[in-house]
Amino acid sequence: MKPKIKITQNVVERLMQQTEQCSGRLYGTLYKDAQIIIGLYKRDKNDAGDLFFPADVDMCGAFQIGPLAQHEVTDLLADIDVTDNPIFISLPEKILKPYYVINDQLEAADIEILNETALYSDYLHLRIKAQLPIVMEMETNSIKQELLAIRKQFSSGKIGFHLQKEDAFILGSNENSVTGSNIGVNEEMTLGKLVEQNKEMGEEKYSRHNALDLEVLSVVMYKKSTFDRNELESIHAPIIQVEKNETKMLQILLNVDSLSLVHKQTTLGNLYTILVESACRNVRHIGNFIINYIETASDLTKPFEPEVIHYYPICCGHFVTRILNKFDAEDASRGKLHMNFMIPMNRPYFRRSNRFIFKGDSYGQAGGVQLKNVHKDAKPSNNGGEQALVKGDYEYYHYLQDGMDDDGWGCAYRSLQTLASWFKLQGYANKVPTFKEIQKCLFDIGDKPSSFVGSRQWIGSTEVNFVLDSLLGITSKILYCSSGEDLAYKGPELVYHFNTQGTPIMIGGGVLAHTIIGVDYNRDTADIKFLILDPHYTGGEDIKTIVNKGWCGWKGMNFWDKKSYYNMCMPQVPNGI
Amino acid sequence: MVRVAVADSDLLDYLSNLNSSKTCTIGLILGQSMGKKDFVVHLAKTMPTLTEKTATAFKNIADIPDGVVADHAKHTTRMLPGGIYILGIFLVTEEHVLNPLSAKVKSILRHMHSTLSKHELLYGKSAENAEQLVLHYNKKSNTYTATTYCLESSTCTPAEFNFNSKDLAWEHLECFYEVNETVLITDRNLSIKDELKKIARKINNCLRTGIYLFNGQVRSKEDSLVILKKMKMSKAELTDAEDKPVSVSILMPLNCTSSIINAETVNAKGFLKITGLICSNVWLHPKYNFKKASDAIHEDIIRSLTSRLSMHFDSLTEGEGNYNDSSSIHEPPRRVLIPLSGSKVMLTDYLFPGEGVEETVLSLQDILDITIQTKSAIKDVEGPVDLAEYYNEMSEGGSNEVLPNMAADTNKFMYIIGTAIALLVLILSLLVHFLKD
Repeated sequence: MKPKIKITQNVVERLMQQTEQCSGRLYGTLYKDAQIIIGLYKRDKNDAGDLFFPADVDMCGAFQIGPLAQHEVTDLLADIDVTDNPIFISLPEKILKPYYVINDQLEAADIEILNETALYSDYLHLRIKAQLPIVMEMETNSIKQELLAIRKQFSSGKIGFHLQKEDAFILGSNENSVTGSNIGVNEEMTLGKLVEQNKEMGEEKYSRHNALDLEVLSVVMYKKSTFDRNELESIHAPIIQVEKNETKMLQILLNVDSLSLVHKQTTLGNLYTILVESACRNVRHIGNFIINYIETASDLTKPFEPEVIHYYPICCGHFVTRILNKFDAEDASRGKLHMNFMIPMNRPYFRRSNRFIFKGDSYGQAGGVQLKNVHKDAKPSNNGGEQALVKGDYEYYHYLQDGMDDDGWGCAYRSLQTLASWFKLQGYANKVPTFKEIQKCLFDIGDKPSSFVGSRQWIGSTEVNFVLDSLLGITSKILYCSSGEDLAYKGPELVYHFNTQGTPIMIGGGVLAHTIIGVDYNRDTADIKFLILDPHYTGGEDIKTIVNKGWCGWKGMNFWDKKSYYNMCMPQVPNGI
Repeated sequence: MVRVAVADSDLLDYLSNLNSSKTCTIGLILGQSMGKKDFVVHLAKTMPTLTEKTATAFKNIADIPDGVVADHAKHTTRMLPGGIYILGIFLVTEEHVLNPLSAKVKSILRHMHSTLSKHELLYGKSAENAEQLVLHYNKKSNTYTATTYCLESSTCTPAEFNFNSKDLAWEHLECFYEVNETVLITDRNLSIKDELKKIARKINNCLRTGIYLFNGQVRSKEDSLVILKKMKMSKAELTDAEDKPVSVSILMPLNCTSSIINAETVNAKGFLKITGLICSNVWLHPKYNFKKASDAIHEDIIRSLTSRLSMHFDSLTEGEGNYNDSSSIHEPPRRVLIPLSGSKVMLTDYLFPGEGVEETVLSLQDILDITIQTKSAIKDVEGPVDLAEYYNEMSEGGSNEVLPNMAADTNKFMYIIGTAIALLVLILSLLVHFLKD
């Protein structure tokens, strides 16, 4: 039977935006009678792209942008030998034409476009983590063999999985291989049911303020250290082999960290093969990295450790997994990924700092207390104009956070931190500077005397500009307003800023500093409202108080002091990856 | 509450039979404790000296060297399944020893305790009961009395012995544990014995963190084993399952026994690898909970592993246990199960490679005072190793590749010959056909 074809909005957009002629592979997941295309990868001789995707997302077809020559179709189709019903998408003139490939012939197909929300309401991710010790000879062939042996061991049923929060063990796909402490946990139970049941039992709701409402279940992998009765043949009491053999060995603890995309209706019994495949794919991915490293590294004594990093580029709409050497700085192969996933080259998506932070993970800075994207809960504006808002995640910095007593003088520092958090979360920066780092930076560049460091002196938009430039390498545009009233005329400029840059703005006037994260400009009435994030808030991280008491909300012209002059520091996004 | 020990009436007969001569007999009480209750499975008298039988019996208690009992206890513990311990000692004598407890008995108990504590991985001490049982059988009156003795506080409390119980209920659990550990050798002066001790210790720690499944199911730690019987639905299943032991499987973290932290290259001199199966069987009172059941399996595996390793290294001559210049294979003794008359519980003996059941029968008599009537009752649960396989593997890696190639060539050759013969037959038959015409 031919499956229904669905395709995510993200894939369609990337295909449509591509101006150059090119071809590539389509990746998707098949559940029952629907093939959902969730990703693409431009044709690349050297790498297939398969390993970047979560498990159970496999190649399902090909695409071709631009005019289609018959020999190219044949060529592309030769690649497709994995699925029963390969799909071919042709975009001769920016029109998407889907086909089934049946016996090397194209047959027109219907296609349904799916948005991300719809996709992830049916699917969830499972993330397996395990530490796998390996000892192998320092030589490509034996490494390959050893890694193959591991994968064989995985697929031979010697491993089991534990869904941690849901407390369910998935030990195989046959009868009696699913067990757990919750009622009704068996092979027939669906994953969705298990998760729901667990949530009902007092599990807190997933935080809405995570920009992506992705459900990721954590899974721990175990080895089965016992035999079944029927496996006992040819097994004997323990013996000890002592082998004398001088060799150079590589000892390594593989940090398996693999994702799979699973439909909520999948039964727990059917989950086993998916999880095994997920673990195998990850080991293959890490293995390729190790082999490549050993073959190309100039100095093998340098520290080296494969690190699995997951990304969730917004414009891809799916996870992308990469392996990097933990001890290396940023790598040069990022550009290729942008190309092959066909995503814009004007901002970073695959820097280390772009990594997806899973619930419970902490990297670099100890888990920040700051709330993210608080404006999403703010009362709506009633100005009826064109709304332009901050684009991308930011953190809300305000008074008294991180044990600082900055009430009365730290508002501009806090606004600066919010600005920096935006750059951190978009992958441009590694961290948000502390008060001390900000003051030291201003002393270092000669703007302030040494007594300034550790003092309680306030700063203004000029200093914010200096610090962004020196510490993060971000240049800003400064917009001067001779009076508060003057702000009424800044509507078009602000709309333009949010549409093109999308960064939060620091505004300083008189003794106060604020952060502007959006504007609502009515061109007909020339009325303007500002979406303000107020750093003077001294309470705890309680979203209700913050939005109800207007610490984050839409403000009119009366918010500003008519007589003060104002300066706005508008950070500009660097162009590049 | 008074501590009560329950035992089969056969064991009382055993005690009274020891009463034949004008001597003093001492021995070990083997069994399982649950709270204030003890389930005795066996009584084993201590031979004067285990090695040379100069004397056949002790004259009186004072005659018993402490070390002999302690040594007996060590050897006996090796033969016990997990969950079963030496609960204390019994004495068959005319002397008054219990009231007050004789200083000699205390000293024997103390000595035994310290010997068993020395070998931590032997799991010689029950976590359930810190006090030791002392059973005294009076030869003159044919009566028995019992007491418990606490080593820590040096206090005695009275205990009861009950010999009228027939057929104590036992739940049999079975687990086939896979040993598979490899360590790189970087130091030529390494002692294989020490290295294996380290491995045993690691496995011991790992088993503590393992997840134990009973008949494939996770169980609440507090539930008792009885629940397993209740779960069974139909009668057919029940009778079917009656003899079937509960199967226990263990899940462990993948990096449990590893000490690797970072990736590093090592100039290895070789490796040491221990692989195989430890067949673990434990018998537990059905009211035992699953936590204690997992502990019993854990202790059984480690007790058995360390026992066979120490027996192996005890049997080696000096130098054999060192890492010398040649590759070698060590084959420690394997576990066989010994039936106990009047009880479902089976004890363990170890067979060295090449040894037969006869040797077992001898050591059983020596250590456990068991006479095996039918040798077929001894179960060789783990099976001997076919070492040829390993020597082949160790000799040359290349030979493996050559063989299939040769086979392939032979096949081709056969094929060609076959075709040639077929052709020949065809030509001949054609010739015959045409010549006839």
